[in-house]
Amino acid sequence: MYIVFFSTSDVFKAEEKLKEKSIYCEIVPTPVTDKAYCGVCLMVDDKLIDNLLIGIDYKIVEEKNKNVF
Amino acid sequence: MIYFDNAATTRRKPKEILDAAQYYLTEIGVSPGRGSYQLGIKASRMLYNSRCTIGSFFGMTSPERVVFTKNSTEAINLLLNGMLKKGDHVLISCYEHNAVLRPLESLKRKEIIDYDIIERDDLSLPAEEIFSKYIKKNTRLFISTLASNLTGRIVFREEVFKFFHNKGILTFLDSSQGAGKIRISMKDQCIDFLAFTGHKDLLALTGVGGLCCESLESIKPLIQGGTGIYGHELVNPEIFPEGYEAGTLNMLAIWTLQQSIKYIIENQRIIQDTERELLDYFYVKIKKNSDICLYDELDNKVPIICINSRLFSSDKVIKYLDKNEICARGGMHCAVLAHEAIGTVKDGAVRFSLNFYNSKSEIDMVCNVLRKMGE
Repeated sequence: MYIVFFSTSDVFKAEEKLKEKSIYCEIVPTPVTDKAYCGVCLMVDDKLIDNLLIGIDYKIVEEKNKNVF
Repeated sequence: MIYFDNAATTRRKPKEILDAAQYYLTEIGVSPGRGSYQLGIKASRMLYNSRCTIGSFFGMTSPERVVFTKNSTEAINLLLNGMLKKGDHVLISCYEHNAVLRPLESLKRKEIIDYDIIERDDLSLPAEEIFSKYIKKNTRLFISTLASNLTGRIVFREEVFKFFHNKGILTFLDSSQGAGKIRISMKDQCIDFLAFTGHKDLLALTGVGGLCCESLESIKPLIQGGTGIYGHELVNPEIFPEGYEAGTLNMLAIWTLQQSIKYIIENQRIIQDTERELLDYFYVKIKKNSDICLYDELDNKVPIICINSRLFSSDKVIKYLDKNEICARGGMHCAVLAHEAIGTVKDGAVRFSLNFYNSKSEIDMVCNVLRKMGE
């Protein structure tokens, strides 16, 4: 799934928090859904990230075209 | 050539800063916050890391509330134009730079705000006395420079900031002169906003400054344009930090700034000790010249010496120094309030601003040249 942010700065803040907890994440282009958000977002496998990103505004976007590339 | 104009720009940069510039130019060279390819992501991560370094250096709670601008003037304009409302009153010190005075005067002429200036003799008063003498019911913001760009006097007083902040008045520190030489903690010292510039005491390249916002007060963006976020919106979103950074950032200068801050932290003691020694040495030497008068001769200052000749105007002194390959600044110093405060509006003043790369032999040479000038 993708974690989409409203600020690019928050993408890297969230990456830092997840890596601190050894949760795999990857910064990737934000998938276009209802509207386009900032250029990059986090792609994660683990769905239990809610408690780790307190204080950061984000939205979860589920994968539609998984494994296209 | 001898360079004593470090208060304008530190000319010589440590090797680590030059290496950082070369690295960014040769290995990165793309915009942060735009492309979603790996190199663009790397640039964005470097931007985020730079914010964290700077936010941490100034003792902030949240580094994402560091907004990058091209210099402190733009940062000051962002805050004053974006936050002040009709009917607000602002209190400033008499040592403020024109970068503070002019935006305020401009807002005053538009009948949006009013402001008052704390007189020189009152700057040392206890905080409560300054408060009772100058604060009005509608005072919303208190502004102080960290140090005077004209005389080097440290104007910032922690107790005044704490007192005003605790009384509900927003506090704003212009750290253009002195950041890097005086350690600041916005959180601990109750500094709601801080403007900085990279090219002076922070030792970075020119073209980067910023506004640090510890306060959550709402601010309108100064300029509109591309931000890399909310591309579907017709105006900038008021989202920190990107909503306030329309247009491509000067990432080259930003990257040198994060490196220069690390350099300053690692070398703080030797920088401070060297500059203190040079300043004291300069004072002892120049005071022997009876043709020279000194301003703000204090212990509590950054390494700036402000003088005038009793025989020649400041422009003549500068011209003579220049002929002897000495770079110093004369005339007015973009700080008319400070000139009024020390009584040099008519004649201007000569400023020697030192840093740790200067030497005692350079000071000897300057003092000799000044002595010869009077012969």
